[in-house]
Amino acid sequence: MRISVENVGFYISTKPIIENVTLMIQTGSFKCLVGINGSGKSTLFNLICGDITFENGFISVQDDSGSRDESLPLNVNDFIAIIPQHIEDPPNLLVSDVIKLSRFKPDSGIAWQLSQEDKEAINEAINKCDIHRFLNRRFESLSGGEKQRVWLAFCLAQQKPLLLLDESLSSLDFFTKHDYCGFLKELVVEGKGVLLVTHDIELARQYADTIAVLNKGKIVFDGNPRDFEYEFMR
Amino acid sequence: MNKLTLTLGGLCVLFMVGIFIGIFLGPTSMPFRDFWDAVVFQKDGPHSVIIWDLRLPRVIAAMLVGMSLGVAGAMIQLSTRNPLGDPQIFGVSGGAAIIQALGFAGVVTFSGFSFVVTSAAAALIGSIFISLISSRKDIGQARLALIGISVSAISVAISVGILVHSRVFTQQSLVFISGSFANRGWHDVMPALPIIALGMILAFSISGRLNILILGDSIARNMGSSPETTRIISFGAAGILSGVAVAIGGLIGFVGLLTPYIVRLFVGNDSRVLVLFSAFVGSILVLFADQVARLALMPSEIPVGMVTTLIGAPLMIVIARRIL
Repeated sequence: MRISVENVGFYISTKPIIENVTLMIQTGSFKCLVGINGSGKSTLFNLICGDITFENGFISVQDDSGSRDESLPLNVNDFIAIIPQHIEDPPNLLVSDVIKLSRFKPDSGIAWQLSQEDKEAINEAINKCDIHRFLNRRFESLSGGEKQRVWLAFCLAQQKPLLLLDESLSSLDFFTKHDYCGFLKELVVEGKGVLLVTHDIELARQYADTIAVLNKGKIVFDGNPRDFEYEFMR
Repeated sequence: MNKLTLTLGGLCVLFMVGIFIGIFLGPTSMPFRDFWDAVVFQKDGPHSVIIWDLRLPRVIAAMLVGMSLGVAGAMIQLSTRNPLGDPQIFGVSGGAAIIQALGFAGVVTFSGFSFVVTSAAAALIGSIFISLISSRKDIGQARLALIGISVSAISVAISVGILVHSRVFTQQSLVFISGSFANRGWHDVMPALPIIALGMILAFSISGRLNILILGDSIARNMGSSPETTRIISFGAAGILSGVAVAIGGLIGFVGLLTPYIVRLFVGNDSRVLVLFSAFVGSILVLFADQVARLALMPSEIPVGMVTTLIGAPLMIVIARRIL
């Protein structure tokens, strides 16, 4: 399972924000997208998950299993779970309420409720992220690190193959960051694909399988950490 | 579930008490036996006319308006995640206010189905406008509320201008600005029913999707539910409902703002339950407010909007200190 971004461009009036970007996110791989502030990382993130529409290029999903009809275009959002950069705290909700929404199905309308399968997925995610302790607390009362754990559980409970995380490390301290990345790494080993948008190059070198560097809206490097060091850190 | 049943039971009791006060008490006092005869045995008589043709339609009007305002407030608060969501604060009922003023001025016919439809349509235009603004990515909660308040202020200014220009009597202008159910009969209630039903169906059909919108636009879209569509339908429902409410009762403040907060205290955060119970609680709020308006200074009346504001504003201060 992979998502290919091919020659995608996005412009505000005629100024290019993202230009000719090609990128691949696939299962079993931990990719970090790094770049300085204003390089277009978040715009690229928003393009992939459809918050804004790109003007040229393609973003497509390929399923390696081959069981699907190739002629039907797949919806990217059915395969990625996201943590956006700024999530306003959902007001008044308990952590358990937030997690339940991970199995929300828009088409079931007013009759929506959790099936047995949904409950199992949720419990599995809760166990994996170890958030038992604060299930009955109000979401707003959690610390920054705890909130990120809850969002991660929210993503896992959706049981989608790919995770897209935008700057979810920025509010975390040194130790929590490493815990978090180690956890992402485990997920990748188990078969998930992760794209982590970050400006923390050290973490990217330590944990990522591949690093993509975005500068002024263009991908200037895409490769493994060793090549990255060779290219940028001599 | 137990909590829901308990709340529902409490609401039923309140409804019965409110309706009883509404049709039994009033400037014309009647013996309980006459009341019993008229209600249970359907006997004709002067008191029967007062109950069935004067007091009951007024009770129904108050309940319908409260229901509409409560649901409209819930739709706006949930779909914008804005704690200040209210049809008046967001300018949603502005268009209807202008139509109402035109009605007083005699420019449009002041009753019947076409008046309700015009009023709802005018409010709908305003609400779609606000919903398009609120879907912009960079719009903050405070700015959204400010835009709404401005739209609201403009429409009230235009309405008052119309009233002054056409020399509508002061008494009537006051009734319009503060809202009142005085002299509301079946001919006001009946034409409103289909439009309110339409608004309610829209509101309930989208209420499930409002749950996911609480987590923000990006996550809602990722989960397969377009935030823009949800918001337009929510505001559409809010517009229709508050338009009808203005057509029946004038400008009644604070009901839309307050109702969802009260509901949240009792039934939690599922938006489907929230919208449903906002209908009940809004209905009860306005029903009781109208009894105060009718009976407090009998035989003269206070505008019901004044009562809702006098009760609603202090309650809102208490809630704001506790929750926000």
